[in-house]
Amino acid sequence: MDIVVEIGLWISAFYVISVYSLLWKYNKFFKFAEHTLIGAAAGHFLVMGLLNIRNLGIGNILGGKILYLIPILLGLTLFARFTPKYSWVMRWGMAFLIGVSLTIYMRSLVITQITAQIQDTLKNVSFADPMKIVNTIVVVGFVFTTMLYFLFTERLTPKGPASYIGKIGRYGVMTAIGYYLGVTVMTRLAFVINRLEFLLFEWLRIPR
Amino acid sequence: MVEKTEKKTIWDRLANLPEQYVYVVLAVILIAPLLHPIGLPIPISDATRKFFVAIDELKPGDTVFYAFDAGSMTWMEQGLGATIVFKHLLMKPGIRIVGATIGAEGPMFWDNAIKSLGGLASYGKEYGKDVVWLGFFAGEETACAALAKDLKGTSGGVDAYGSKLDTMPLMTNVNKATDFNLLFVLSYGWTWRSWMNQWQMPYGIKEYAIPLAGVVAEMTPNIKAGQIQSIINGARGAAEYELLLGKPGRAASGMDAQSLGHIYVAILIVVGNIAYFASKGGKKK
Repeated sequence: MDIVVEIGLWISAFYVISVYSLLWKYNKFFKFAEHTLIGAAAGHFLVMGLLNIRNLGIGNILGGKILYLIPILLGLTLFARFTPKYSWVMRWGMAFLIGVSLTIYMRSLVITQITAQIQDTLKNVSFADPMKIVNTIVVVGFVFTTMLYFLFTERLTPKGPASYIGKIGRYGVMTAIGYYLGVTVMTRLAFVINRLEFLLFEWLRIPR
Repeated sequence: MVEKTEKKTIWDRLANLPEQYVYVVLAVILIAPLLHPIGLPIPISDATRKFFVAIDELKPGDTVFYAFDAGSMTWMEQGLGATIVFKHLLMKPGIRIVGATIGAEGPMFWDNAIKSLGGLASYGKEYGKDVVWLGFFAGEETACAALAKDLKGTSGGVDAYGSKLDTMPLMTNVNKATDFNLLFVLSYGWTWRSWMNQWQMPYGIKEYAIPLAGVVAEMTPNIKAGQIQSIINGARGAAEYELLLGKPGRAASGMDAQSLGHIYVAILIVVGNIAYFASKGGKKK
């Protein structure tokens, strides 16, 4: 086997074991792996950012697209925060950044996350057969009670029939949280299994 | 004065079980089926089948956009789905793939994925003619919006390796979201939403996503509303896809361990709750 690949395997195995050693207790190996990861990630992101500025910013300016100077200058204003006297200059870049992002998000956010979801909820309303009636009650019922649980909690929590609306909504939220927990466990287990497969079959070379 | 020491019940001991024991048992439960597979059945879900059919029905000459938002901390799961989908796309004759990412780690994994699949040549594909990689674009959702309008303008007219896009046969008639038949989004977190907001919603392009299983709960309303056509649900979805493609690989081999791990976690939750309510800690309430 290629010696470079072999060294890479051993380094990788060392880091995997170091990271999972946290499950036993917080130790120096975990700390070392943690710091390496943060350092490597910071370095990678910095390089990718600089490459983006070089290729898409400076490259375009040199190609005659002089307007690309504007975002670069606005980006540079963000560094003004490091000088107390001129830190206010940073607001220009930040204002532009937030303004553009917000405009782009808002263009679609209302449709994708609000109106489309309301439409889809109402599409489920059907009384054609008993199963659809049950489905309608479950879907529409939980949507409304969950919304009310968050909107009018204080008014609905006192004793009385109205308090049940909040309670039903709470069950809806708890069901959703259960779903979240289930899929999160699925992801975490997939991570562990993948690393175990690496340790067993690639590093230790146990035949499958 | 002598203090009375209260006798601990079995439930008290269970409720305060050192977590190391829990992890050791979990490790055994996960390693055993990897070494000696049980062969538990893997039923194919409708979502995976729909995803598979979408690629299978692509015709020669169709062009797809592959948003390859991979992350080093999530590749262990998402890599399984990303690679098998890439393989299927490469296996289809005449399908053209344009890739880009709004994740800074995407470029590293794009190259790795192609390498792990044996290279483009092993599928009869040629870079520039069948596959083009535009690389990383900073700006997240704003980058998605810019790419949807003008790929060449946003990338400065070059691919990730600095080659001119105008010289590539694939890019002659491709420059905006509507030039693509389908959009595939590999997502390390919530980037599927950015592509949905800026590609699916304004241009009506059909989006298929490969999210982390942990994010699926959050995207379910969008799937139900038809904003996302279908998904590959984490490692489980990748295992199903491998079986559909007739190429069982790493995802399928890990499913026994995945299933046993889930059973173990479910048992822990039940036992933990019983222990809590039966122990003195629960009774105090």
